[in-house]
This record gives sequence, structure tokens and C-alpha cells, in this order.
Amino acid sequence: MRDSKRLAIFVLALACFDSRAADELLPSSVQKLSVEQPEIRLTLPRARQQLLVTALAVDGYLHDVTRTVTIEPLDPAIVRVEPSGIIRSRQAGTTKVRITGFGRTTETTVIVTEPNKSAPVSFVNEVMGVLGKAGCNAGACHGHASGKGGFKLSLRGYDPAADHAALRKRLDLKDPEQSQILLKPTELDPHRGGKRFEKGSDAYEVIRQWVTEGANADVGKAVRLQKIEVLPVFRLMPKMHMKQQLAVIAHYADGTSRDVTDRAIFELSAEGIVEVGPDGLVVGKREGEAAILVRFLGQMALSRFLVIRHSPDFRWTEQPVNNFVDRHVHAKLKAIQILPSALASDVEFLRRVSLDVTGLPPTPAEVHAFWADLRSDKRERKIDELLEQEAFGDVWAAYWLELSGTTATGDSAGRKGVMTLYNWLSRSINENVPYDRFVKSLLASKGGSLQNPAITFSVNRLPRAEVVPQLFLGVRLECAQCHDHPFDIWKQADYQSLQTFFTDLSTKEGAGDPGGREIHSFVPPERYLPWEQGKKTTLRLLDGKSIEVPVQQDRREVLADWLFEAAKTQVARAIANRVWGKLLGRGIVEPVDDMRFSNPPVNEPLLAELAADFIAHKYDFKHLTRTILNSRAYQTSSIPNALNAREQMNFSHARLRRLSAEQLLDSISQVTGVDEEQRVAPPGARSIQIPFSYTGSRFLTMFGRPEQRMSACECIRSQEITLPQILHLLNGETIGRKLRDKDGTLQRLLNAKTTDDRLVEELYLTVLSRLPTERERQRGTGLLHAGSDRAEAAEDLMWALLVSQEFLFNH
Amino acid sequence: MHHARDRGQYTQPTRRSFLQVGGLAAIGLMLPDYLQRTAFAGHTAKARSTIFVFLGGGPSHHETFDPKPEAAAEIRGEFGVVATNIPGIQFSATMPLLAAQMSRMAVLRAVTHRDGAHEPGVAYMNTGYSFRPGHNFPAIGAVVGFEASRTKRAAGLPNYVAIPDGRGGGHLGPAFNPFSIPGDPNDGKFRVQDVSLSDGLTSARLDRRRRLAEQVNEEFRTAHPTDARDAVDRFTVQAYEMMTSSRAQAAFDLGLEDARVRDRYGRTQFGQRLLLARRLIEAGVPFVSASDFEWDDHTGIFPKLKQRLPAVDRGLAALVEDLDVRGLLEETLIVVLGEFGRTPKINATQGRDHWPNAFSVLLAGGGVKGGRVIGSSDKEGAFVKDRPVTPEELVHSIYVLLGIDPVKFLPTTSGRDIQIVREGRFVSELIE
Repeated sequence: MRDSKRLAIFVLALACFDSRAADELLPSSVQKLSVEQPEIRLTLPRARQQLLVTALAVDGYLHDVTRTVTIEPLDPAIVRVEPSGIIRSRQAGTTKVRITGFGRTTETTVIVTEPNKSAPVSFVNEVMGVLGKAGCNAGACHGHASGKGGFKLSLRGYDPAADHAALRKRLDLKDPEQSQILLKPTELDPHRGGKRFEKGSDAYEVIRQWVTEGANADVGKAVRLQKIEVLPVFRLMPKMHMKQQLAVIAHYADGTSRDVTDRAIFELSAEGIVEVGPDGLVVGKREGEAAILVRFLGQMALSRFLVIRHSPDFRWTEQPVNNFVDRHVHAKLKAIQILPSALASDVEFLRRVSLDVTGLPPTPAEVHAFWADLRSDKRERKIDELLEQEAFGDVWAAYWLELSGTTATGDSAGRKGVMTLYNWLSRSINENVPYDRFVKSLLASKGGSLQNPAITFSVNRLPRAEVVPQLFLGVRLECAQCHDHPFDIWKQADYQSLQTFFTDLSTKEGAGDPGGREIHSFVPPERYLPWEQGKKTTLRLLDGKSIEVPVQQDRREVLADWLFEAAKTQVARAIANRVWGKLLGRGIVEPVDDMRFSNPPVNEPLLAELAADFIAHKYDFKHLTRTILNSRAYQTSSIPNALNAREQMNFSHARLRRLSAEQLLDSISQVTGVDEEQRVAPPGARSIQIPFSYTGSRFLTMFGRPEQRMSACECIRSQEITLPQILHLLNGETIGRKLRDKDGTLQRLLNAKTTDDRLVEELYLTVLSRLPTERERQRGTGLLHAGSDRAEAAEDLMWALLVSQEFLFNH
Repeated sequence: MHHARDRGQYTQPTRRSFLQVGGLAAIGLMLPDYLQRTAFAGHTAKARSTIFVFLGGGPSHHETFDPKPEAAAEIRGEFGVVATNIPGIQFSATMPLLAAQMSRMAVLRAVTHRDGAHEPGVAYMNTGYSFRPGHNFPAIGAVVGFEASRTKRAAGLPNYVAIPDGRGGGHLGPAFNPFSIPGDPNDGKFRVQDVSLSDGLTSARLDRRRRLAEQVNEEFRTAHPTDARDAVDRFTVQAYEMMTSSRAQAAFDLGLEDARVRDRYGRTQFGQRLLLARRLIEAGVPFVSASDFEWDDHTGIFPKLKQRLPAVDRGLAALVEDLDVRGLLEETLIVVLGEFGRTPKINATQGRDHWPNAFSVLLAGGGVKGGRVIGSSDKEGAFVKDRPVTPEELVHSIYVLLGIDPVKFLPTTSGRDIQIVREGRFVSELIE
């Protein structure tokens, strides 16, 4: 008795707590109440509509109040309304629906009409939707390549005809309820996939009725689904735990539309920021950004959420702006109530920009010169100067070569081919060949590789239909090789049609090339057969448009032209995002080469203007790089402020980036004054200048340089930090041997017989590109002074600087 | 959808394991132990560590564990058979020492899949997932390392060591890549790179350097409170442990092993790799792979195997016996496998080609009941005759034997949680 009382109190307390928590999430004072759907048309039978009611609070934020307000139809005979805001049709007619709450009232009109003719259940538009929502055709279930339990559906329903054929064996037309397709998902028959829906549910009824009506396939006959729309497309949640109902509307080719919120599938782009239930109710969980991918029968829509912790005390302070980049970055930071960090100091800036542009830290002489420069535009001048160094071309040549898949071994380009391609890439970047010409050369060069090394770019085992869109459009098509892309708009047919553009690329062994072989590209001779003359062929491009070209036309040219005409905005966005990602350590779209529909940019206006500016400047690659380098966003300090330490996606402060394998090894070599003994490159070559995938360097492999160019994905390179790396830095021979080298920096400094103070200063300047602080100076001289062995102490100090985090990171 | 609701969820025991913990706790098992030894598929795990012997290239099942003496000459090959110490079970005559250990081992003779190329086959047999271009599933050792990283680690030792190299962490991230030990441990000058203190470095000097490095780092660390930097801190602590822990140093030092034991394993690269593996698991490393990648014998297979098989026979037999003598066999699972077997029919160049349709895998220790053959191939060793075992089932079973829930979801670098093995069932004949 006492126990049950206590329990009752406890439950009551919980309830109070709950309602209080919920109250806090509601707007205290509402300016305006509005319905997202001003007019609703329902067609009998089985029609429903998720209503969305939004309150505009006095603080300017929008709140979903669908489940809080009272929703009443003025004529309850026409429709009824469920507590979650779902309106269901009862009979034909028109009625107003009144919405009251927060001392405000608004209205919407609902028109319910009879269908034109008797409307049987559509297999394509309804049954397929039920199967998708129930998860039957998911990859882990019957959508698996080999099906499950002997029953195979197409992955996520991309092939309704095949699915209908598979289903036919699982139907009982005489006694529909005995159909396997009803017994299994309701678990009336044992089902390893568990219960997918209840007997008598909407989903059940759709299938039951379809079977009753004869289980016809209307593939190719059903009214075509044109697109789906989700409401709202964007919402900013100023507090945790706020809720937002989504509504999904399908639009058909005959002009009709239908609410499919209960059939749509909701998937998160990032875990943990928001949650979304199968009914489309979204709950904010923690600060951050998330996109919800809404799928229904092959169509997709996106709803984006930004969850912040609104602080009434937050004051945005006006930030200095270097160029348009900063305006966009600041606008976003202001919306999420975060202030950017201060500008990086001159020494931080100089080391960062030198590493990013040339792959090497500044030498002590360069640091001194930069200090001595008192002009107000010295950073701009430095950027211009670095962009004219040949090392800039090397950095980008290595980048493109890595992603090209071109290797020196096997049935590929040969050592000489790879070498000349590297040189061509580096020279083109340094000569600032416009990006459109650069890409067209890589894609569609003619003749032999001795005259035209760019041809070699295409000589490898990677499928071009995968590489070209990923490299130049930033989209990944490899999923579409086998089936329609599950998270993007690409269909298998897109992949297949893209492949037809590359049938032109053939190679043959050339003569007179001691280093390997000469690559030739030519149009296959069969296209010149007499009966082919004058014929035309139709090619389908990735935007779905078709083009007629003469049979003899080199199709790669058609594709290259299309890239810089119809697709130029996407091409520009893709390269702008790559450059941004390389310079700031994270793309505006991340991963940089996965510009998928369900992976939107964190700052659309920024990406849009970078792309537009790039096109307006005639694809000037150095201009694009310079624009980013000159922004405060690039030049901001890596030291976070009180507000932005946890912010990682919006460029509020510079990211710590571990030096790449080549940057680190080349930096160690430069700083110690001892060249690396390269196994596959001439003496004195920097690691970034090794064009081959095989380097023979344990160091480079350990720090993430890929040993094989197996994919055009940037992810083949690892920038992670691992135990063997740290062990090797601390105890390995790379640093150890170079430190002790008799001709190295340390010996030179020791031989110069400077003062302790000067020695400490030189060591800091050489390794970390800055002067020691007062404390560091004292500690350093103390160390040199104390021990009996000054050389050993100096070696230890230089070692400590080389293994420091300040050296390991670009910051 | 099986997605974990939040990223923290994977650290929670499943309901099933929770029920069992309750039971185990009642009889006084301590919590860290439960994480090591949990029952799945009704099997209470005995194995604490694994030695994973991967013979890359695809060893011939005809010339090892599934000889076909009755078959035609172009199928049965040159070697003949040897009786094992279990009546009715024969090995290829090249494996006499291992044959004498049969009572401690189980052989799966009907392992089967359809990936006849190296890369897909290697991926499949190492991960339990069929090869998918563009997606890297984690090796078993990486999953074991992941699990172990959440409990406790033997100070100074990594959780996953690969000699000379092995498959990586895949979608779990490079933090779970193996600690590789390249080189030839049979070479008199062999040292584990980066682990033993480099020349001229005393431990006193290393201490001094460490303090100095900490001072240098101090300001930068305080100013940059980020995850990227934390990883460096974490691995730095671990790296110093490895360099200074006498236990770790000893584990890596084959020179400390009795010369007679070294002889018993065979003074070969392969034999000494196995011995190094034993030292490491003895010191507390939960997963060591010892591999050899020479087994792709498309031409002249018989003379090559005559060179190679004795080292394997001797090394593996010594390993099984040695572990048993030391009382470690029951808690150490040994798996010997390749990505596939080789064609029944000897080809025109006296070799055998790739054959994934039916081949053999050997298991011993770690709770596996010895003296049994599970499954069989047909009379030519071409196709499965009975009890096929898929790579999913094999990998699933390895996890069960190790006390890791094979079907649970682990967080991946892409933010999506993915099942350790998606399909497969426990091959219960291994323990019955």
C-alpha cells in the first residue's frame, strides 16, 4: 500500500518534471501562428495529410506547435484530426480547419474530393512504398545482393518489375490474408526479420487490398512520381530537445499530390545531433548540424537542422573582413552564436601558409625577412610570392597524381610515363593554366604521351566512369556501378551511360621509350569503316540530357565540353571545395569528394560565391587559392576562444592538422639540414617530388601516404595519428640519424661556437620557425649550461623540438 | 534500423550479455573479466588471445590438411599422406610433426566461398565480409584491439601486433591498425624497429628527453584543447611505456628465448615469427598475426612446397606443443588459413591455381576440441561434400570463441555503426 503510494508520487513527480521541461521548450510569447500548408486537397479514399503548425516567437525563432495547439475542423463530417496533427478524410466536401493556441488563431482550408474513377491500389506507388518503409528491401534484409531466406527484392526498390515477379510467388489470391507477404511481416508466420507491421495497420491494409484486387503490376502504367517535397526544409532549434514534425508530400506527373509522411524513410546524415522517428518527428539532441534525408520510392528530399544553445547574453561583435569569404563565414558564425578566434600572429601565419603552399616550413632567413617587412600588405605579398614558387606546382602535381590511379607498375604507364606526367602537372599548375584547359587536357588529350604527357593520366585500372565524376564533379558514382545510389540521385543508368564516353580511350605500346612505353590515344578504327561514315550516335550525359554526335567524334571531348558548359557550376564547386579543404583541413562539404545530395555544404553561400568567382576569373587556379589564403578565415588563430573550442565545422578557428607524410619528412630534412636518401628518386629530391606510388620509404607509408593508387577517393590517404608514428618519431632512425649527421644543422650550429643564448634561439627558429619565449630561452640556456656535455644537451633540445606537437601539426 | 541511438550506446552491454553478467557476477566473476569472457551462442569463451597464422597467396589444401591419395595422379600430387595421431585422419606427408599433434587440433575441410581473386579473398577471410570495393571492413585483430582498448591493455604493449604486417582497422580507423613487425626474426641482427632503444640512448637520457619534450609541449598543449592533440598525448604515453617497460622489451626480444626452444620452432623466418607471436601473447597481447605471403604457387608447386612446408610443419607443431606445455593452449586460439585453396587439377606448368570452392582451415586451442575434422570435400578436393563453412561462419565462430558478441554494432569513422559480422552462425562442432 505504502509502496504504491510512493510509486504514485514518483510518477506524478515525473509527470510534473516532464511537463515543466516541455513548457520551457515552448515559446513564451507568440507573435504569429501559421500553417505550413495554406490549402489542403485530399482525394478519397485513404487520404491523409500531416498538418504543420508553426509559431513565430517574439525572440524571432520558429517553433513547431502542431502537437500543442487545438486543431478543429468546422465540419467534422468532412475530416477528422488526430492529436499528432494528421488530418484524415471522411467524405467529399470542403471545410475550414481552425487552429487555436497561445492566444492566437489561424485557419486552413481542406478540400476532399472523390477520385475520378475507382482507384485500385497501385503496386508501384503504394505497395512499393509500404515495402520500403517496412525495411523489407533494405540492404541488410531482402535487398541484400543474395536476398534473405530465399526471397530477394531489389535494393531499396529500384527495380519494381523484378520485385513484383519475386512477390508473385508469395501471394494467395484466393485467400489474401494467407499471403506470405502478409503473414511474414506481421510474424503470424515465423520471420527472421521480426515484426515489420501489425495486422490491420495502414500498411497491412494497403497490401491486403492490393492482393484482393488481383495483385496487378502497374509498372510503367502507374502515374509517375515526379518529386517529393519535405516541410520544413530548414529549421534552427535554439534549444536542445525541441521537436519538429516533418511532412512529406509526393508530387505526381498528373499534377496531383499526396501526403506520404507515413511511407517516407528518414535517415540522418550525422548521428547524435537530432533524432528522427519513423513518423517524421525530429528531436534536437546536441549542438550541431544535421541533414535528414527523406526517401520515398527512389525520390529524395532534404530537411536540414541546426541545433544551437541560444544564449540571450550573446553579442556578436563586428569582425574585420578581408574578402567575401569572411562575410559568409561570419554570417554563419553569427547565426550559431559563436565568435571567431583572433587573427593568427605573423609567425603562425608564415609557417602555416608556407607549409600549405610549398610543403615546407619557412627557413630562419625567411622568418627574419618577414619580420623585417613592415608594410601593411605583407601577408598578401607573401602569399603572392609563395604562389610563384615551383614547389606550389609540386604539391598539386602530387595531389592529382595520387588520385589519378596512374602507377608505374603492371599494365600501366611505366616509370617514364609517370615521371613526365608529374612534370606536366607541376608545370601546368605553376604556369597557372586555366582549370578548364587543364581538365580538358587530362580528359581528352590526343596523340602520344611523349609529346602529350597528360594522356598518361587516364592510363590505369580504375574505371573512368568512377574517377572522372569523383575528381571533377566531387560525386561518387561507384555505388551506381551495381545499383541505384542509395543516398544520392544517381541511377545505375547514369553510370552505364557515362562509361560509353570512354570507349574511345585505347592505348598501344610505343617504340623508342627506354623508360617504359608510349601511350597513344585514338578513336577505334572500326568507327571509320565505310558503312559507319556519316552515322550519328546518341550519348546520355549525367544531367539526363542526350546529345547526338557523329560516330567518329572523340567522345571524351564531348564530355570535357559538357563539364565546362552545362556542368560548370558543379565543376567549380568541386574544385573550390577541394582547395578549401586542403587549405583549411576540412571542406565546406566534407568529405571533400562526396558532394552527395544528402551531404549538403555547411555554408552554401560561401561555396556558391567561391565557385562563381572562380568561373568569373576564367578558372584562374591561383586566384582561387589566393582568395582563400587572403581570407581571415584562413588566417585565424588555431587557439580557440571560450565559445568556439568545440565548434569544428564552421571555421571559427584554424584546425590543427598533422603534417602530411611528405610535409613531415621534408620538414625534418630541411630543419636538420640532411636530405632524405630516396630509394626511387634522385638525390636531393623532396618526398613530395616522388611521382611513384611505391616509394620504398617506411616513414612515408607509416604516415599515411598510400602505397597503391586504388581509388580516386581522397580517403586513400590517411591523416590519422597512430602509435607506430609516435614511436618512430621518438625512437626511430629518421630523426635520430639526421640529428647526429656530421654535416647537419646541429653540427653546424655547434661548430659556429655561438653563445648558449644564440644557440637556443637558432634551434627554435630553425625547427619551430619562431623565437623562444623568455621562459623557453632560460630553460634552454640552463640546459646547455648545466650538463657536462653541451653537444649532447643541444641534441636533446633539438630532438625535443622535433618531436613536439608544435612541429608535428600545422597550426 | 539497428542504428545505435547515440554514439555512446555501443559501450553498453546487450540485453543478452547483461543477463549473463548477472549470472556470472553471482558466482563471483569480476567485471573486467566479464568483458574478456562472455558467452555467445551458448559458449563461454575460454580464449583470451589469438595467434592468427595467415598463409597469403592461398596454400594448397591437397598438400596440407586435405590430401586425396585415392585421386588420379594429376590431382593427388606428389607427396602422399601421413597418418595423424587420430585414427582415420590423414595429412599430406609433408606435415608429419603437425600430424602428431592432431589430437589437439580441429580441421575444417569444407570452407567455401566464391572469390577467386587474391584481394577479395584476403578481405573476406580476414573480415567475414565479402569484398566491397571502396569499403574497408576491419580485420579480426582490429576488432579484438577495439574491444580490448575499452578494457585494459598490458602496459607497454599494443593490442594487435602483425608479423610482418597484417590487415588494418578499416572502418574502425587507423588507430586500430596492427603494430607491424617487419624484418626477419631469424636474422641474428633482428631487432623490433623503434621499440628497442636506439643506439646511444640510455634510459636516463630518454627520461631527460621526455621531461624536456614535455616542457616544450606545455604551452602548445594548453592552448589547443583538441581531440587531434589528445591522440598524440595518448600514443606518446603508450610509446614511452613500450620503450621503457622491461616486460614489453622482453616480449619483443627473441634473444631472451632459450636456444633449444628457438631450435624447436625451427631456425626459419616462419618458425621464429611464431615464436615471437608466442612471446607476445604470453606477455599479454590479445591478438598477434604471423603471416607469410609466398603461397601463390601457379607454377612448379612441388619443389617450392618442399622448401616451404617443413618450416610450417615444424613451427606450428612446436607452437601447439609449446603452448600446451606452458598451460596456454586452452586460452590461446590458433587459426591457420589462407584466402583460398588451390585447384584440384595440377596445371600445365606443374602448379595449382586459385580455388575458393572448398579448402581447409586449421584451428587449435582456445576451447576448440581437438582431434576432429569438420566437413569434407569431395573425392577430388574440388567441392564441398558436407558441412560447408562460409567465411562469415568462420569469423563469427572466432569471435564466439574469443567471447566477443559477433553481431554487435561498432562505431565507424563514417559515424555509422556497423555490425562486426553481418551473417554467419557459430560452428558449434568446434567445441562439442
